[in-house]
Amino acid sequence: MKIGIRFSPIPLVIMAFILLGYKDLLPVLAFAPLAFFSYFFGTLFLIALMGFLVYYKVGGIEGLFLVVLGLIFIESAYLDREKAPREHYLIVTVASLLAIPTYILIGGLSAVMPKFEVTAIAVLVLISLYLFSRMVTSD
Amino acid sequence: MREFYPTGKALQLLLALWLGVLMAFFTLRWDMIYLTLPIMWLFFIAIAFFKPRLDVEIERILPHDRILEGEIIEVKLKVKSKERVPSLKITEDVSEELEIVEGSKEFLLSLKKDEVREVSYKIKVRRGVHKFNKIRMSYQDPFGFFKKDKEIELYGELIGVPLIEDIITPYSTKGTKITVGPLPSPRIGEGVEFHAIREYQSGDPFKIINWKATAKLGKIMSNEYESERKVDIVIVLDAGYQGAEVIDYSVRAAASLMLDSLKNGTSFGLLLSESVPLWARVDYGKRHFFKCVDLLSTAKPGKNNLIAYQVEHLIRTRFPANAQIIYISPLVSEESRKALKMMYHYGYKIIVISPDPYSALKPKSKEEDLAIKILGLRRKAYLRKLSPYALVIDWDVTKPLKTAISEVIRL
Repeated sequence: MKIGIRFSPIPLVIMAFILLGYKDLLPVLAFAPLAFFSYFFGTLFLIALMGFLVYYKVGGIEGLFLVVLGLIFIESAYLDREKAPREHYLIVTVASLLAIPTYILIGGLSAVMPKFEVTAIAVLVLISLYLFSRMVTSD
Repeated sequence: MREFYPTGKALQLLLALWLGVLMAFFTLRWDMIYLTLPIMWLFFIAIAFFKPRLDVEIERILPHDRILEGEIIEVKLKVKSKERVPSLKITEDVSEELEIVEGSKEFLLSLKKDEVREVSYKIKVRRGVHKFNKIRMSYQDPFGFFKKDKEIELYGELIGVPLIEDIITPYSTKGTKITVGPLPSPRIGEGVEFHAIREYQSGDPFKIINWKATAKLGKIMSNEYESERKVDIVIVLDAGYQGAEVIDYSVRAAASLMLDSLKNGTSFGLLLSESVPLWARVDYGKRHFFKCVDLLSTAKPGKNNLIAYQVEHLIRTRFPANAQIIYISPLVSEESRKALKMMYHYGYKIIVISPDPYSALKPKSKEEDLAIKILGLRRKAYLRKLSPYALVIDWDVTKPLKTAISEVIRL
């Protein structure tokens, strides 16, 4: 089991700092150190984080930003172990952060659309997610 | 081989994504599935921008094609990418016989378009012919989500030649000495038939100096003539499996003897007795020497021990009359002893260099030590029994061959 720590603590520290404002979510940090050991544990941490966010209704840009940080954290821990070049960290960070403008765009669209359209967008996201999963897993 | 496939890491993250969706639905907060957006973006970027063609050229650079066994050499791989490859894993096809002493056979590279990179590793060469067949490339996107594997055929060959010791060939043939070189001879013989041009050696008469060749090459060259007094050497190497522990020593001894013959201008032949016998006819010169060394490099202990049969077949047709036979064998098999007696009965003068296979073993227990001692005594009894047939040099392989020869020759 390789443990190499370089940049991964940065998103974790930022996340811990934000989570100080959400006392209910703080226990999720207990899973975080496991991400340094393997990607599988990192995934468990991310699932737990999403679970806590959904359960405690911490959504919006803050909730999304926390997921982004969680994702960057587990990916950085993986890149640390692989001794990846710095540009790979940048790609991961930028790709994950793209979720925020997307969320703002969806939020903006829903404001100008009739109410039922929001449901339609959710269904659309779900369908695209299904198709996306098929595409990813097909050989 | 799959063309492009997701890794376990991708599947784990995909599982996290779907669990996020399910959690949002089961808690009736389905609008919160937007929390999965970062994961979706990451997958999307990986698929859209990091799907490669793997257009990469690789060249393997070996320092020489013949390397002395035990030497450490650096193998370089020159990698040229015709596209941007953020994460390329190269796995070199190194045969198990070659020991990697520095570096690794796997390399992880990040290449820009048209970038040329050189990576290397060091290997310790063993005796034998070592082939490099292919190189495996595995592309992994920077996130480690997808993989693409490719294998390219890249043939390379390396011959690990045996170590050579500076020894003097022992002779048991009386009255036939070679005409030139540092070996003592009652008379310096002169032939009539022109044979070759070689470098002048001390003791050569001035009249055989080839002045034309001397002027051309800038060093004193002499003509060599066929001599009636020259003795040919035939080296018979027993590569039977029963002496597998000392096969490397046998091969080194054969190569050392051949080098000595080359230095002295003596003609030599080689019979490498494996399951299929390899015969190099009696000849002289550097080219012949390298041909024999290449044969020796390939020597492996053969499963079938048919040396007596092979010798019987070749002795009648190929062995020159009155040749000096140097038989290298641990003499542990009945076949090898039978072969020795057969050569004797055909009237050849033989010198046996017998590497002791038990001297190469290190006992791990008292019982093993005792067993080795008993086997050693049995072998010594065999050697004594065979002494009327040949001059036997019993070689303890922990000592240099030169010492073993000088002990017997002095006696």
